[in-house]
Amino acid sequence: MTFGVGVVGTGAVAQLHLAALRKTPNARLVGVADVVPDRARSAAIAYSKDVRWSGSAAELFAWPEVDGVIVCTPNRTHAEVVAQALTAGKHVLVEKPLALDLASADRLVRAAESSGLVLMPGHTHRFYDYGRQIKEWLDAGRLGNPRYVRLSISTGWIWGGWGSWVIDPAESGGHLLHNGVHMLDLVTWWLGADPVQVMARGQKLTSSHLQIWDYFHVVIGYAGGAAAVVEFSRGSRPRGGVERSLTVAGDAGFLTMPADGWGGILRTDEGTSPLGFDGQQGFDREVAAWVQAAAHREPSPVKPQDGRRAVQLALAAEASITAARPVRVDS
Amino acid sequence: VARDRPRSSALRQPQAGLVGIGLEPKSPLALALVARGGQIVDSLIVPSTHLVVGARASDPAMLVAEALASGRRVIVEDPASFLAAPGSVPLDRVFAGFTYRFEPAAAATRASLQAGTIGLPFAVTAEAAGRSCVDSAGLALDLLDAVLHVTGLALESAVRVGTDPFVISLLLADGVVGDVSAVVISTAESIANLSVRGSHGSLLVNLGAPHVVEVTDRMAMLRLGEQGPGLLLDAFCSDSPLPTLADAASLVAASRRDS
Repeated sequence: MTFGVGVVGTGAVAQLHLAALRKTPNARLVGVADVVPDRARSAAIAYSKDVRWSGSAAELFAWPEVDGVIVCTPNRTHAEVVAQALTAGKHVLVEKPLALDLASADRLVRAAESSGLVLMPGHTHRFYDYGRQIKEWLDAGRLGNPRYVRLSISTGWIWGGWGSWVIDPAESGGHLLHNGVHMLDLVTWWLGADPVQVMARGQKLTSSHLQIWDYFHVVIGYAGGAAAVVEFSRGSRPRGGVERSLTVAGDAGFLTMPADGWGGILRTDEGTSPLGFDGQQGFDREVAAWVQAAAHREPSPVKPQDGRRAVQLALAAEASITAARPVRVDS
Repeated sequence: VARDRPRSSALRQPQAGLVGIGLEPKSPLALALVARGGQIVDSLIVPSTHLVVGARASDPAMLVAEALASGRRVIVEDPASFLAAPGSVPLDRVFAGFTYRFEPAAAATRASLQAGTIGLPFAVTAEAAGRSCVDSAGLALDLLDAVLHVTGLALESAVRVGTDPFVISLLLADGVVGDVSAVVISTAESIANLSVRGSHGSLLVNLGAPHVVEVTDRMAMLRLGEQGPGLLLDAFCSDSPLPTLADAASLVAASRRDS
């Protein structure tokens, strides 16, 4: 049986999901919806002449061929659109963040549980090679008991331009919720422990007139004593540069991924060895995993509670920056 | 061996009177000490003028007190543990064995920052992982000293989030933020990385391997020479100014603050 998919919101990130959907076995795009009807029409035509389009998400939810929807709308609308989709009986893959506030995230978690539908927050970094393989290495005990992670991503310049909704805190929630949740989720998933406190600091690099932090530095303490440092910049120079560096340490060794490469280096008592990553197919794997789970009513590969926890950490980091002190996190 | 002949010659000169007690024999500091003609000894009976008190020394406070009383210059390999243990010595007369600030990569980074290569710094992070003679707290303290030395900025706020790993969230003068993080693991190798991000680029520094990468519109790699522990001993034996245990104590006090 082919799994019918609808895509709500046809902006930049939707194009990545649509490209991934083309490669997903046993799935087909039924239709797209966007509040700008011409954009929905263009996206549908670009994909296939058989794809329907609408200017209304509610109309798309009513199409019986749609088994599940991918929500790619601006962050502010996620909670409402996802709730409508679940109410309409559709499985959901929602771009991160799950919601902009904890109360909304809690409602979505409960709605998914009561409906029996698959609600998967789009924490794509779990599906990139580095995300998956480090998790596999940690679970296999190659580093012993995980204790420390540092993940740093630095790039710039101001993302999306000055008119972008991404830099409007009312629309995006700011970079901690928009981008930070990827990293906060990833390091917590790797460490496999409950966060207990967050200490964060922020900067407005591009302009003091920004209403969001375009650089943040977050330290997370976990139950059992592990710690993670997450550093993210959208205001770095040079403009086109991207640095991603990583250190993961357990009690039996550590691995590093330098800023200028996708490979890693593993250091243990047994010596030093290079670790390679295959490629970067995060969106492909994410969409395929969601379709597989939804079509077969399997548990979501990324639980709604994980999306809720990432939101919780991002909000705690925002609060910590504002208060200039650590913020406790309740599990 | 340094590139220039006079420097190479100076490095070969034995350091008369340099001894170490309680040093792990294969540690970088012990190797640098021996390479300078120093001895690793068991007691202060051996004549000496400059004493390195290693992290493994038993009753280091008494050892330091005796050495000071006999007119020796004293440096302590593990200031964090020394300060945590009971004992009373004049902290401003004992030197702290911070080695990271002496790494050529640290000096090159400091020079690059002062030259404005990456513009105004806004974030600085430092981490160390792997084998060490000192524990995670000691390693973090050494990194913190290096961060302050390299940037030349005062520490305004430090919030400790963990003890092992030892992680400190930092706020420095001029609004510069960041952290120092250290985790000691029994591995064959270790790393120590420093990054400074600025308005016009970044400095990605490997304190363990002697090079610095400047990431600006024109990326460059600076290759360097002699290692930090040796340069620390050179400064110690030439009576150059060094950070004292009093300086270390203020950093310890700052890094003890947590939630």
